[in-house]
Amino acid sequence: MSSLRAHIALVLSKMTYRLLRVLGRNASNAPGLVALKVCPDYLAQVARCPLCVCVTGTNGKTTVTNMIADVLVANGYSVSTNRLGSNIAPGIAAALTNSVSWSGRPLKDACVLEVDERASRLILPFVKPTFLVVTNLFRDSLKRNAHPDYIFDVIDTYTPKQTTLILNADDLCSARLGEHAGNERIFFGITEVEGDVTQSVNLVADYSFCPHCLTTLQYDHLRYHHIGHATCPSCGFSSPGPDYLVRRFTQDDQALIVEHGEATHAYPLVNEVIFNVYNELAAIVALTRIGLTEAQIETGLSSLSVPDTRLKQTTVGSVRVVQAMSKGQSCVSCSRTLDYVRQEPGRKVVVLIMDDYYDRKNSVEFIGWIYDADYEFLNDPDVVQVLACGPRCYDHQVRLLLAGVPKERIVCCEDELDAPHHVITDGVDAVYVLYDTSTVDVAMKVKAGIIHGLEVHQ
Amino acid sequence: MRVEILYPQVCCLYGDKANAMYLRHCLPQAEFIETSLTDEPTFVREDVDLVYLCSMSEQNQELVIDLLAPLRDRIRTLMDEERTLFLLTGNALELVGSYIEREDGSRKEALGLFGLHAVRQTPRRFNSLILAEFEGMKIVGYTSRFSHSYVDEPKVYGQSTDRTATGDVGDAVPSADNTQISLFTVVKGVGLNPDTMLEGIRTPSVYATYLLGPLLIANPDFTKHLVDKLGAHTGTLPFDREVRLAYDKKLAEYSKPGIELE
Repeated sequence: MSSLRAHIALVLSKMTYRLLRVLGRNASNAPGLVALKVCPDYLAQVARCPLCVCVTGTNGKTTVTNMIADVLVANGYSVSTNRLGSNIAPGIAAALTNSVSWSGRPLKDACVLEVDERASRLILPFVKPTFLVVTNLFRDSLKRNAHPDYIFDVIDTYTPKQTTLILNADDLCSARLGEHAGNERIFFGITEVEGDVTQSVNLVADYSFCPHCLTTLQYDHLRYHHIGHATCPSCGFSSPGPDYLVRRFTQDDQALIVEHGEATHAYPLVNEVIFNVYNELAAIVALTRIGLTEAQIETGLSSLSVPDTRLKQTTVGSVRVVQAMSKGQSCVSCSRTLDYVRQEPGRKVVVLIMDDYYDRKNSVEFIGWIYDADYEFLNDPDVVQVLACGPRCYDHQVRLLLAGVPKERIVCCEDELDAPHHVITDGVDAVYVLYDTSTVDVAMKVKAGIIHGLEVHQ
Repeated sequence: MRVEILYPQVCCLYGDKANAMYLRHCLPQAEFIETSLTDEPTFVREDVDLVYLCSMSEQNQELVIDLLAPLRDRIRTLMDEERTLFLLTGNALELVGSYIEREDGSRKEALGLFGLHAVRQTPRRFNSLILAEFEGMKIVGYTSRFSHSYVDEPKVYGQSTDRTATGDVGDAVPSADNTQISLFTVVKGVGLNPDTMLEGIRTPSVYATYLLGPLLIANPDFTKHLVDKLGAHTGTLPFDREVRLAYDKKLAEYSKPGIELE
């Protein structure tokens, strides 16, 4: 800790932490706010642990951060992390405060930090991570993140040259990070799996042309959106070859088979959903490069599970009521959920509760993102009813009509709480309640109302 | 009738593709051509009634300028002869200006068809609801961008609602004449930049606006005007009732006093 100001910031930050803990708060953010207020360049001043791993990207960064931290702790490392705090500068500052003593001496073996991709410009140059894991880059909130090219530029510009990048070879939006700066880059990927296609079924693919000759890329296998392995038919450009490749992941024996060079190792499969396989693989690669042995990683992973808060179901009689997270403003998250619903067997009702809760208070949500989301997946004979709920319900209705959903299958509910009264359940196998992070409370009320209706009906 | 959608691989941000999606329903007899980055645009050698270009990343703006720059004279001829309507949404508007000033002060020369230039201010993102007027109708829209546009010379641009009383979209290039006016007059929000309520560019053959996303679906009367202008007169629009229901709801919300625009 080089300056007196930084030291004062550290002491005040630690005192804030102590005070909040006495008050029973988790103290994951305010100590960082105090530190940054007193010393704006606190992140650069605070002493660094011997090891610092940052994780960023559009999706999966929380899961990967927690996996890396948990496996390290399981192997005896002392770790400071921002898992309970924010992933922007104050949350990072609070985690760094906890990683050093009152005198500023590093106390922990490692810092493992989830970093908001847009805020990474204010964090990475100062924290100077040993490793930066980038899970993927997709288009996300228009207001915050603009577009993937912008986020790519932010991360690419502000990642220190000495940082080793751990990148998703199957995501060309992020795989080219560090290319020009000359960072050491390690790639991970998943080999072709059942269900992969060669032609996109999604409306949005944010990496579709060759960066060298502009020719439309051809995908040897395409998983969703732009995730897959692409080659340019004109100049030979292609997705990078993965250094760590998942050859197989099997639900039967819960194994994740990872190939690295000549060696192959079976790790416990934490979750078989494809994006969680990517998350686990990213964590395995980071842990391997940190220096853990395969056995150590295996031991750490064996006790982990991915909390499935995004998908919960209740069965009443023969009808399943499923709540499924579908982040509003995020066409990729929404499309992934709609694709999941489409592929589930049986006759379904889908309830859309994705209108931003905060925008509705005294503004109007920009609804353009629904035209990037694959509402066409709901144009399916098995989807017998779609309830468009919330203040933008009439916009959803138009979107559904343009997607080809028959008009008679669409119901609009300006007040989401009216939805249970309109849900048809006769001859239906499942009702899916799709909700945004901001509408979870109202969605749970709707779900409860639907369950109540089913119970009364019985 | 032919509609050419330029570079949908990169010009596809923010739900802008909704406009082409809706136009396909509005113009069922029309031929829709999607031109990729390696193709020569159809309008270069053949008649096209409508060319649509929409939002893209700042990096791709520069790429598209490079692709269109050799075609500048052809584009200008089509504009001057009013044979083709150019519909530009989002930051596609900036491509027809004289230049784009980057964050570091350097310039990317644009097509130079109109006397205005854009100034990027990344990472400052400007988001706003826009309530505007167009030929007596109310337009509801949204803008989200890293840049604003400014006229190259301080002359009278559009009508008297200009806060600064500056700027005709000027004499910087010969094709820019006094027939140029703004496309929309903003009632809530801002226009081409925070100092003007004038928004977009309108000539007989160019409709350009910073508004982005499903502009046509959100504004049925404007779409009807556009379809009529293309000579494909229609009594009612596809999904007319539902589209108007969404429009009426949104217009009522936009019109509320004190609504938060950002």
